[in-house]
Amino acid sequence: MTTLVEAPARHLDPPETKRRRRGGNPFPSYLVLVVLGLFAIGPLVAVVFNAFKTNAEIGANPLTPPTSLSLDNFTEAWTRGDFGTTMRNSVILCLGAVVGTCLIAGLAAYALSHLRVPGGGAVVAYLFLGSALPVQLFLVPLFFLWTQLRLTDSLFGLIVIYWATDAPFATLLLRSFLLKIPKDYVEAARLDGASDLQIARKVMLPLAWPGFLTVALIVALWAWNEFFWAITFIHDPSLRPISTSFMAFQDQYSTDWGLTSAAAIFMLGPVVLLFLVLQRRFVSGLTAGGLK
Amino acid sequence: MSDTAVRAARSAPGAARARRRAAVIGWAFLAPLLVLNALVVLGPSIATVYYSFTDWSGLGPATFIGLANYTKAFGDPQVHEALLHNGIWFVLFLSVPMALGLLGAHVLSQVRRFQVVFRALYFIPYVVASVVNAAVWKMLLSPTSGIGHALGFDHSWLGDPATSLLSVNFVVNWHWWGFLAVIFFAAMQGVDPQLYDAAKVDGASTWQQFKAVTLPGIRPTAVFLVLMTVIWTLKAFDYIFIMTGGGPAGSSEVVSTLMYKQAFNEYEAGYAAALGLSMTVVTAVILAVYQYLRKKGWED
Amino acid sequence: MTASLSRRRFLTGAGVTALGLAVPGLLAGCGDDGGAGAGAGDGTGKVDFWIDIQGDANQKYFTDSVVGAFEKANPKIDLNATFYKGEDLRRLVQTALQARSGPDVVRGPSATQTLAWSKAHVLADLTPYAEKYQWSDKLSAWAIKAFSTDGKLYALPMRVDTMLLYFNKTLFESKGWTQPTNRSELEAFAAESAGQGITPFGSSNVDWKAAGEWLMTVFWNHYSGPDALYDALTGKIKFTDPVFVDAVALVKSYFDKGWLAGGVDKYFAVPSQEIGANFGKGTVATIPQGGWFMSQVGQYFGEKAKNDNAWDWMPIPALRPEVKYPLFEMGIGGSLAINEASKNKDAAAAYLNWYYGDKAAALKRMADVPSTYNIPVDFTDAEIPQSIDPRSARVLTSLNKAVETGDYGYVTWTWWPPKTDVFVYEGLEQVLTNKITPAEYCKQLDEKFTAEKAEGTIPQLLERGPAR
Repeated sequence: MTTLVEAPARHLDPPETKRRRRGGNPFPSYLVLVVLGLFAIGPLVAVVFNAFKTNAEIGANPLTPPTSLSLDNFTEAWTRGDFGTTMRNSVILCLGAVVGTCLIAGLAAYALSHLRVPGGGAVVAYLFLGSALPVQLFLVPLFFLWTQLRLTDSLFGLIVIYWATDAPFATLLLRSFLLKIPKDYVEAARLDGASDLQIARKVMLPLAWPGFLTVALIVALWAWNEFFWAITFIHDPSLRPISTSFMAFQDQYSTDWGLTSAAAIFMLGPVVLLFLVLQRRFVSGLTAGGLK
Repeated sequence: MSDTAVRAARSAPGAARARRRAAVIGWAFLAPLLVLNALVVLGPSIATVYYSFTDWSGLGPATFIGLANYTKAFGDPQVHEALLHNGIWFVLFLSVPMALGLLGAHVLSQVRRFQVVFRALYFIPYVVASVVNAAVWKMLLSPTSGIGHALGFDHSWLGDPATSLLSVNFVVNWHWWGFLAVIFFAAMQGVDPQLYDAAKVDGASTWQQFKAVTLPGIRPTAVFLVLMTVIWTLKAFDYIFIMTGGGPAGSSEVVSTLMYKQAFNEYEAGYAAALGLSMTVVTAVILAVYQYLRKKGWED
Repeated sequence: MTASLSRRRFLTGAGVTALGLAVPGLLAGCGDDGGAGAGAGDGTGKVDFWIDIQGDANQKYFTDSVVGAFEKANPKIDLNATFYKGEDLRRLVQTALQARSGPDVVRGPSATQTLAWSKAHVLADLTPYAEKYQWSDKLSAWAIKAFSTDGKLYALPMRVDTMLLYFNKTLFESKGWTQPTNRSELEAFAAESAGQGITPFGSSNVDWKAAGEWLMTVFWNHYSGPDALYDALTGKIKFTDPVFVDAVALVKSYFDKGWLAGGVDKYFAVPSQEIGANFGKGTVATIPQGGWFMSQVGQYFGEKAKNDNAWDWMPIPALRPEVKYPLFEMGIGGSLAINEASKNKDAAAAYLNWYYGDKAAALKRMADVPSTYNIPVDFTDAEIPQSIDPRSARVLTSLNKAVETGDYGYVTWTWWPPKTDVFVYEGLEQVLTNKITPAEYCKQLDEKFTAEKAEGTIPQLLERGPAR
């Protein structure tokens, strides 16, 4: 079995052509798939519908398609939710988180997979534990620390927190990816006299970049969707991320469903598009990385 | 460094130095990760450990009270109930999305057309933010205007203590299964079709083929995804917090929401810290058990 | 000093960081900020203020007529207000206060919780400012007393709260229902309304988990009565007294009959917006809610809501013959205080003084927006501006009368100690879901109350009688 799945890291797409041929009726299969598809996408379709309806219409028919397509919700939600600012802030957060995490996790993953580090096993175990901790555990002391370091109300401060919370999982993922790179490549480079840093840059990186892409997408996704840390550490309205814009239309006494639905589209639109475009790369990164 | 020099460096006297050098470089590469982690996670966590031995209210000074918080947690019926809910959540979250994911992936690998479309559809819930999903499902589960109502049963899914936990769990499963399906599907593509043909020749049914060919073929991926699921399940907070707040009457309370309430509503931050730490220990135990099982014989 | 401290922490690593985190907890023990001493000038500069005004119109009003008006009167001070949602705000402010940061003017929670904050020394002592600005002359005695402890004033009351029974006036007229004033009339109305498929009393805890405390406030005040409550709060009788247990049982029975919220499961699942919409339409007859609801209820009636109905409010009927009618339970919703770690305390105090001291501006706010800006300043009925909505005016005049005659009751979120108050609504959930009986509920309530009373974390009550 190992021979089958130990395809080199350069293997990009699952072979679409290696499809199983089935004799017999495909209809039951399609039925199952369609049902699952409706199950997956149905609720979000309802959101899309509601984004085009007025609130009165939503109140009367919350689950049906809109009778007329009105863009009012979108324009109002965009301005009232200050999406221009918050989207920009979230993009900054994502980029910062991605770049930093890839760097930190990349170095660490390389060390844990190809360098003989004493105590490496303990570090890996610690990273597993770290990925599983509930973050509410240390919210207050961390806020206190960040206040002393003047990192509250700053996008950079939040990005650093994301580095710390995302890097463990990213490291583990990259490590399993890098473990698949044959040691011969590394040995050959070492014999040629390359330093570890050069090996990292010239040998590992080209082979491992699908893994990096996967990590980048996951970290970007988490940074984009994140809410809890963001509202605790960022109070300046001009620095708030997109998740707060989404919450702007729900309060204690009322939820403006039309605006909330439009806001939901703004929030999930970019990530859905991004993932649809890069889906194959993302998946192959995770599948290949899913060993050891 | 020339070849001879390298070989010379490998032999006895310089070897130890080289190993030390390698270790230093290794640790240097690990440094950013560990330093950052120490600053953001470990440091505050140690503070939390300290607070767990005090009667800190969340504000102001804290006085040492020894193990009192832990003994209280041990006997607290609210904690027992929350742990029970964590257990139920664990079992469901570990099994339902996996089952759906495998089903979806398997069926998807059987058909010829529209695979890309279905894959995309199944994947989408995973990338949508928890705040969005929670808001949408709160509306859909409403007894007066949601799906149930439209289909005829006015059951209050989130408001009935008997179904509140299961309902939130349902939403989280909905969020997660598509991700698993897509990954499993890709892994299944890597299984040699000849193995299936061989099995069919031997007269195996679809289910037997699945068990004998598919499952072993995707075992490494499956193991990895099980680990990811285990890690995720212990962090259950967002959805429960937004959709039911742990209610009604604690029927959907899990340890993380209980911790939050103790820290911010009941002014028992020291107790909350003790709960958090206990949860961490439980997590560590579960992960250790998982690693042990894996080493023992799950993987090749 | 802070800069070099942080550099040191950076360099010496995680262990010391952890220690450094533990130490401030200990350091947060008393000690006034040596900085701008109270009374040293009127303050200038930037003042940060985090507040939970919700809704676009309300936020605009606040920005124009509160922040704007204040800055006009005090051009040297820049008041910077940020809006949050209620539940988030308390947690965020609390986290910030503990880290010695956060806003200058603190919008605090209920009186008892603010008391807990003050005991943790995160709020500045307002006594010097009170003396300087003569606040005891401007604010009602009962409110000031509730926010004083050990002779020091630690916060100012943000909003006067009471409980009202809002009703769909058009619906009542069309059904020929009269306003019930006692229990039998109330129950007759409820039975008839429920029989016609109209929910008698709309209620929900979906959007505000603490909504249970509103219901308990209503039933304890109008069934058990304020005299019994006063005795319990001062320790003369216990909360396990049958007069309290019966009140809890009465709440439960109304739920079980489907009168309250349409039943327990609806209480836990139907959002208040839907209840409001149904209230406007006439499928919910009344809503027992606080005075603050008056600034929200209008959206469910009239042209914008596509109905021709009107709302009004009536005093909650007396549920026992021994209890007076009309009776208004009173309390304070929220507090305004100054952050102990604020670098601009004088300017913050200047804002508080303007907010409470400028009576004309205060009355105008109360007239413009129902209830949100009702502060416990002393004023006569005649001083209320004519522009006010008559329903809002009636609240003010009724409360004035209640305070004068001493016929007022006690809301839980002001007079009950913090953990006990949390149990008031969390325990109610358990009663409603049949996990505990009303008797057990009162027993646990009594235990918590007695413990907290011993610690001294309850606000001071004025004696029964006129409370000017």
